[in-house]
Amino acid sequence: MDLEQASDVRERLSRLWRQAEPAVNAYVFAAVQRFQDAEDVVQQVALTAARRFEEYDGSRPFVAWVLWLARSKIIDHYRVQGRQKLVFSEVLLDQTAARLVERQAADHTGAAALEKCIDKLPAKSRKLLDLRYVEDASMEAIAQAVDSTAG
Amino acid sequence: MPDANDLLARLEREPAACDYLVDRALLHAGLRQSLRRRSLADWAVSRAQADVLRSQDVSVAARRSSWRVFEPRRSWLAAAACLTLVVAGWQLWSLPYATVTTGIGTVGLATGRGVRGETHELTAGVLELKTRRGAELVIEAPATFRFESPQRLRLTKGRIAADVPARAKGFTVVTPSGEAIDLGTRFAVDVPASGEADVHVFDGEVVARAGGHPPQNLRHGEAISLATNATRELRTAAFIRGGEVAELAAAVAAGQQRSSREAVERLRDDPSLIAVVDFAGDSASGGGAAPAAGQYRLVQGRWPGSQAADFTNMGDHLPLDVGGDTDWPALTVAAWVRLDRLGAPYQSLYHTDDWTKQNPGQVHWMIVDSGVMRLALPGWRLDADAIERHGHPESRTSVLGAEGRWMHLACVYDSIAKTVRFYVDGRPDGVTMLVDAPPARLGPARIGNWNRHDRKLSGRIDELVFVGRALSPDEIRSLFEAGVPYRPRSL
Repeated sequence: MDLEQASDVRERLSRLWRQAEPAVNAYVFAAVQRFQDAEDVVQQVALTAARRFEEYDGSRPFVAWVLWLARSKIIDHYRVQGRQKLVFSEVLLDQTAARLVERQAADHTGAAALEKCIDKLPAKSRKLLDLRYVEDASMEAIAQAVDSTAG
Repeated sequence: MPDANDLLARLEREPAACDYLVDRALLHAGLRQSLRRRSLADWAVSRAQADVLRSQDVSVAARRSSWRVFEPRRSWLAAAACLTLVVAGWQLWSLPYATVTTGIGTVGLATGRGVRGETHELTAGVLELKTRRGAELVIEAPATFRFESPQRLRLTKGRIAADVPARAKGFTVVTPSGEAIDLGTRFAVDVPASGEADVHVFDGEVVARAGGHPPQNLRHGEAISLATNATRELRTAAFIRGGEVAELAAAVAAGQQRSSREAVERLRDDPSLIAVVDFAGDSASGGGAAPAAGQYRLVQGRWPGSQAADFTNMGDHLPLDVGGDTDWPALTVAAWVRLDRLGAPYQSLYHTDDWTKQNPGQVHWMIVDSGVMRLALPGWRLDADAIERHGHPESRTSVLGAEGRWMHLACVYDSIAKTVRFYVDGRPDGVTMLVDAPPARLGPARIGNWNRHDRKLSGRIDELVFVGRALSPDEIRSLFEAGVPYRPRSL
């Protein structure tokens, strides 16, 4: 039974995490500037969520719980990265989290709509997005790429 | 970033700005996730694009970062992180949800055993568990339960009392008719076979969610039916609570269950025995006492696997016809009871049907609102010095404890000596002298609700004994000592 039960829990966590992931990403990406830093923070949130999953109260929205975990990871990140200029206050972190929870409850179609939009993008626009979002290219690099392809 | 502080201040101040931020952030994160997923699927294409870009003299910085994404070292790091997640997760998931701290007569659920998401069928006994987060639970058989998580217990049948510390706040008992969510408290849930559960709050606060009804907050001393959402009377005696378990376990370990059985066997050999009603099997045994179908629940008695009659509602009763057509110059009535402390006028223990003023000697045994035990026989007269003001002999002390534990109650009537003696837990409680004392009469009777609306019984009766002679104080004490379900106390 233990194996079966463990796999049930794992399945439940992964389902909940999949649903909450866009909100967690948005939250961390808004508050932490560099993609790689942000992704490290998201990774820590995921790890913490798995470690502390037993504490999650199933009667409350999972997204609210993971955003609460993310909040402290973001603050930890600010502390370590003392140099960061754009630092969200705790008030702003709370406001943003509250809105994301509302948004999560209201809308499940965002991701599918986004996929359609990306499919419809002209090749050039798509390449620009890839430069930014996949290649982590700097704005300067993108500008140069735009110039070179435009020329 | 010169305007960063202005921007942050505006985000805090203006809800519309924060909404805009959330929109952008969702899009931003969605793009990153979607595009990276696509690029992984089209890795070759992506690399080709990077090559094209490189050939088109894209800055070195951009190239480097493009490689960083797919660098083998990073993949290893990602794999290691995944592995860590799996290992941490495995350790977490292989921990039990709760551990048995005491098992009294529970088959397969011995002390120290871990309990997880499997379904448990508790046919006999009492189980005390401690959850991972420190909630202490006592489940009494017959029960069927399953943990859905360390914080969520599904109880299909049975009785549970929960003592929930702050860090386990939110612990939830799910029943077929609704659920009870703890807000830091001591509470209990009773799920009979019908599934119509009751929630009782002893301390703190609980959210009761009855199926189809809005959630309701229950506080200290309140109770509700999850089936009907109606208020119920608080039944403390219906539940075995943490503090009681160790004493019950010690008694079973000390062999009390056997000594109790032997005492009943000895009683059956007593030529004066009228009846022993022990609710074992389909019918009560001894003296031809076979309870007819009544309105009550058979629940666990003092011992694992034993049975007692449980009365809850106003009309609950159990018909009993013993010792009829005989005059009993002396009579001893004794029972093990577990009663709720209710404000109702009378709790009926045993009432003969033919009790009227014109029918001397008919026996009524009850507990009145002040909590004292009363024996009422028509046709007798109390001594002028008697302290009772209602014309019926009464015990001196209240027999309704706050916690509703098992108690042994006895009254001994002697029409020759013209005395009524009361005993509580084997100890003499008081004696009332009579002037007129007709012999006692039994016959058709009821345990529980009599034929008036001011009588009820809330609690359990286990082992009701009728003997046609006056048992001595020593015999009553022996009866108590042999049958007490707690670790024997020195008297």
